[in-house]
Amino acid sequence: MSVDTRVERKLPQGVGRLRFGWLVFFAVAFVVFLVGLAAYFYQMSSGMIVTGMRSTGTMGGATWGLYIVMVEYFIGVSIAGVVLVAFAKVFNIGSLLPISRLAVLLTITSLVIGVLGVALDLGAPFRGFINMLLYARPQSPFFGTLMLVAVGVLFTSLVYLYLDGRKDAATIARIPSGLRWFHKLWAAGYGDTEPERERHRRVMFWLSIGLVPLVLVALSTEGLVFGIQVGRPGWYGSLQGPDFIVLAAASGLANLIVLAAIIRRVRGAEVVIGHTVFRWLGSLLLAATAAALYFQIVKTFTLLYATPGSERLISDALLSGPYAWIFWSSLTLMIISMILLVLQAARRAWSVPVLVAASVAVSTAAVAERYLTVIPSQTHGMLLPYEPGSYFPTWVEFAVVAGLFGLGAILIGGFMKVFPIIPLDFDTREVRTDA
Amino acid sequence: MRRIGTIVLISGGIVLLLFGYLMSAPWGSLRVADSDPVFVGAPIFFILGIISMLSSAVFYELLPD
Repeated sequence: MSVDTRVERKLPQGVGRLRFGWLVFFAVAFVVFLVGLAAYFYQMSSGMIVTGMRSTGTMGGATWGLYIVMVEYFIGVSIAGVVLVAFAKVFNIGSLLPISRLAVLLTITSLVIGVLGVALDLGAPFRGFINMLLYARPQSPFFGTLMLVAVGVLFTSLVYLYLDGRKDAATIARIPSGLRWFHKLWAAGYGDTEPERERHRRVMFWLSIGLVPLVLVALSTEGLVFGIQVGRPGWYGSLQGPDFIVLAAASGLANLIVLAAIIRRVRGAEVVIGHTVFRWLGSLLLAATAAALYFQIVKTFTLLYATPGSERLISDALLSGPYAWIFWSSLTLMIISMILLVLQAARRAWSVPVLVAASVAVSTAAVAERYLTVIPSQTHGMLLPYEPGSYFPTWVEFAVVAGLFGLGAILIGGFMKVFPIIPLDFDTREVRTDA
Repeated sequence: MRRIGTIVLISGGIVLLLFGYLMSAPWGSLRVADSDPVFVGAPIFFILGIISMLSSAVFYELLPD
């Protein structure tokens, strides 16, 4: 079938049409983003003193605070989307393809926000990135994190999104609208002929094959940023890499489930993004959460046994000290979400609201876990005889992080108004075929 | 043409990547003087290698037979 056989009257899935609900959503996201931006300019003009971050040891603080926590979280979230699509393409899991564009978009958005988070933590961000390009050493996990993640995974995801969207772009480029030039540009002459389809299948397959190891290496380095720091008790250990990936998979899937449920509701796509999609996502989330919980329990037991003196300070801080409420809340949330997921799996009935509740719990627990990875080792993990320190984010940090969420909402919401979020092969409700 | 271009982009990307890596990660020396890349900006070649390899997918799909 050629794209020329399709006749449409208006752009599908609300593309190009600004409804009142969307305008309210966009306005709120934009205001939140502006608040974050204003807070960031305040931080840049006043210096990092307006944040809760202080030097470790001498000033009893933490030099990596909420920004790095969110970098870890967002880069973690990015893993699930594109890897899920890669698996769906390689193993031909058609049930997951209706959410493939949403999944890749989640990856791109999370990566953009994650990389911006690194910049927020730097007093001179521009100089930081330039020096990375000029002087970085590939042996450093920082290089892997920033270059492989920011350049490799982000670029691959953009290529993925672009190539996979060409067919839809060609289809909707035939509809007269203000966005026609954009859709024609995206389609780049795509005609949906058999050789083009075959070529596209081949490219997607090899891109997917190449993508999975790239993502695994890139994200393992994210864990290694902490795992190879011998001088920082609580961070040094071989589990950091795999632990990072497992929690990343859980938090990424959780975010994808929430987003898929929102899109399903907003677009009235109960049939297109049906229960089969959520059964897949729920089962995968169950497996990833079980693995994450396993890692958390193993780490806790390790802390409980005969730990060296410097590690003991951290274990006390985590289990019964200032971070105990975060630690136990995170563990409780993970257990609650596990119970919800296991019950649904046992009954073989996946309820979308319950799945969303479990996903929110997993996602919140993941943020808490990232916080516990980054902060306590700085305030309590010292080999030198400094007193234990403390860290609490200021309103500036909270506002800037809220701004990042606002930016994410703008990117995803904005994309939905210029391009169909559900591939048209699966959502043909508004695309009449005269073939 | 399309196949040749794709192969050039992939193999050229691998060469750039290896060159960038070796120039910015001098192995075997523990001297502080050797902790910098061999020349300033060497990591850029590593990045260009990655971009070149990944661009081959777009090149392969967009160019006509």
